[in-house]
Amino acid sequence: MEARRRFFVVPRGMKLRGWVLAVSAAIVIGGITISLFASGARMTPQQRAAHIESQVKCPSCDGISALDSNTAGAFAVRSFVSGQIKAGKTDSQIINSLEASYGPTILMSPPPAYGGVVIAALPFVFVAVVLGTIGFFGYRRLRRPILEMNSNSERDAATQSSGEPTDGSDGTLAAPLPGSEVSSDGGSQPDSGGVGSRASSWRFRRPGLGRRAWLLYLGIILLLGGVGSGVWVIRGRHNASVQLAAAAVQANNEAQTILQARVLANEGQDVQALKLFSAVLDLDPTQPVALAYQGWLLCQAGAKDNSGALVNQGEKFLEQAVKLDPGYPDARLFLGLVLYKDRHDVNGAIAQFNAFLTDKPSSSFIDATRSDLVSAYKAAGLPVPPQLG
Amino acid sequence: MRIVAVVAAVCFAGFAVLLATRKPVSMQTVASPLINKAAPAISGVSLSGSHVMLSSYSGRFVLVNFFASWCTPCQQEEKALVQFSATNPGVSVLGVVFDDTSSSAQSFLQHNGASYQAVADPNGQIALSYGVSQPPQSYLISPTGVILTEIIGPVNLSSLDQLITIAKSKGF
Repeated sequence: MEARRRFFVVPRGMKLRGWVLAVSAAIVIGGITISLFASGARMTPQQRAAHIESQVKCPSCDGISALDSNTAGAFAVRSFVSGQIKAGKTDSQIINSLEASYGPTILMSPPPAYGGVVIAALPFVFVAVVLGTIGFFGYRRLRRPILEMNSNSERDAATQSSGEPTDGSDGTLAAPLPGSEVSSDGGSQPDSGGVGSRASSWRFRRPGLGRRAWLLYLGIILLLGGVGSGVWVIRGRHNASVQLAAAAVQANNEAQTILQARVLANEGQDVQALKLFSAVLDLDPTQPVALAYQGWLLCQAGAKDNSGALVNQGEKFLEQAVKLDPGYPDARLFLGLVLYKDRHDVNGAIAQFNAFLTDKPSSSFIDATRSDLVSAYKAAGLPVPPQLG
Repeated sequence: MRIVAVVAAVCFAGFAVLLATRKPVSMQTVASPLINKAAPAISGVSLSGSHVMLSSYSGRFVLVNFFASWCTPCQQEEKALVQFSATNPGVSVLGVVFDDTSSSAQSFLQHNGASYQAVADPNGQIALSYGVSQPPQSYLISPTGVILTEIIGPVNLSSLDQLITIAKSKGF
C-alpha cells in the first residue's frame, strides 16, 4: 500500500519538476546561443565601418560619435577605421587600437568604472536584501507548523512501534486518509496526538509543499522571462545597430551622389545629373534636394524642347519638394521661376520668391537669379526686396 | 522587521554618502594610456620637404608638440617652445601639424622664429595614434622612446625645464 502511494505521488511530482527544469535549461541555453549567433551576423565593410564609427566618439567633440561628426578628428577616425578594415582587423581590434591611444573615454559607451558599478548595484542590493529578509521571515513562518507536524509524526511513529497498525503517515503521502480532514486554507493548529494528530499532519504538510512548488514555478517563469527579455534586447540592439549602420551608409552614399549630381548639373551635364538624382530617388523617394533638382532639370529640359509634359512632371517634383521641406530655399526658387517663366503665374511666383528670400539663401544663388526675381517683383507691382538691391 | 528597517537605513545612508563624496563626471580626468609605453611611430614629410622619423631622434629627449596656426593657445605657447628649443640642445622639439594646412603652419612657425622641425599630418593619423583631441597637446619622450608625460594645453618654459630635470634625475 505504501509503495503504491509513493509510486503515484512522490516520483510523479519529482518527474514533472525535472522536466520543467530540463525544458527551462534548454530554453536558457538556446537563448544564449541565439544571442551569440545574432551578434556575429555578417555586415558589408561599409556597414562595419559605420557600426564601429557609431561606437567611437569624435576625439575633438563632446559626446558625438565619429559617425555623426564632420570635424577633422572624426575624419581621422573614419580614415583609420577604413584602413584597419582593409587590413583585415576585427571590430574589437580596431576599437582596442583607438582605446589604446585615448583610453576608454573614446568609446560612446565606456565600461563602467568600479565606483560606478557599486553605485549602480546598490539599489539592487538594497532590494535583494529587503526581499531576502522578508523571504527569510516568511519561510520561517511557513516552516513552523511543519516542524510541529514532524514532532507529531515522530509521536505517531512511536505509537506504531508500540503495536498500533501502520497507516503510512510518514509525511510523504499526498492522498488523504479515510476519516482525515483536508482543509483548503492550509490547515489550523494541529491536534494533540492520536488519529486527530495524523489528520492534522496532512493538513500542514500539503500546503507547505504546494507553496514551495509554486515558488519554484514562479522562479522558473521569472528566469525564462528574464532570459527572453535579454535575448530580445540583445537582438533588438544588434538589429538596430545594423539598421543604423545601413542607414548611415545609405545617407553617406546619398549625400555624395547628390553632391556629384549637383556638380554635373552646374557643369551643364543635365542627363548625367538626372540619372544620379533618379538613382537617389529610387532609394529615397522623399529626398527633397533630389526632388527639387530633378524637378528643376526636367522643367528646364521641357522649356528647351517645348515639352509641356516634362514641365508638368518637373513642377510636380518641385511641389513635392516644397511640401516635404518648406524651408528648403532651392526648391522655393525653382518653383517660383517655373511659375513665373513657364506658367506666367506672377502671384504664385512671388509667394515662392518671398519664401525663398525668407529662408536666407546663399548670395551666389541670389546673384545668379537676381534679374528674374527683380523682374517678377516689378511685374507684380511690388517693391523689390532689399536683398535683391 | 526591525532588522529590515536597520538594513534599509544603512543602505540608504551609504548610498547617500557615496554619492555626496564623488567628484562630478565633468571634473574627472583620465591620464593618457600611452604614458610609460613606447611612443607611437612618427614618420612623414616635414614642412621643409624632408622626411622625418621619430626613431631618428633616438638617444635624445623629444618634445612632440601638436599645434595649429589657428589655435590661440598654440600662439601663446610658441615663444616658450622656441626658447626651450634654443636653450636645451639635448632636447629636440618636433612639431606635428594638427588640422591645418602646411603653408599656414609653416608661416606660423617662421613668424615665431621656430627652427625645429614640424611634420605634416594630413589625415590626422599621427594625432590619432597619440590620442590628441585638440591642440596644443605635447608629449615628452625619453631617449629610449618611452612617453614620460602628456601636457594638455599650452606649455611654459619653467615647467618644461622642470620636467626635463625630473626625468634626468630619475635616470631616463
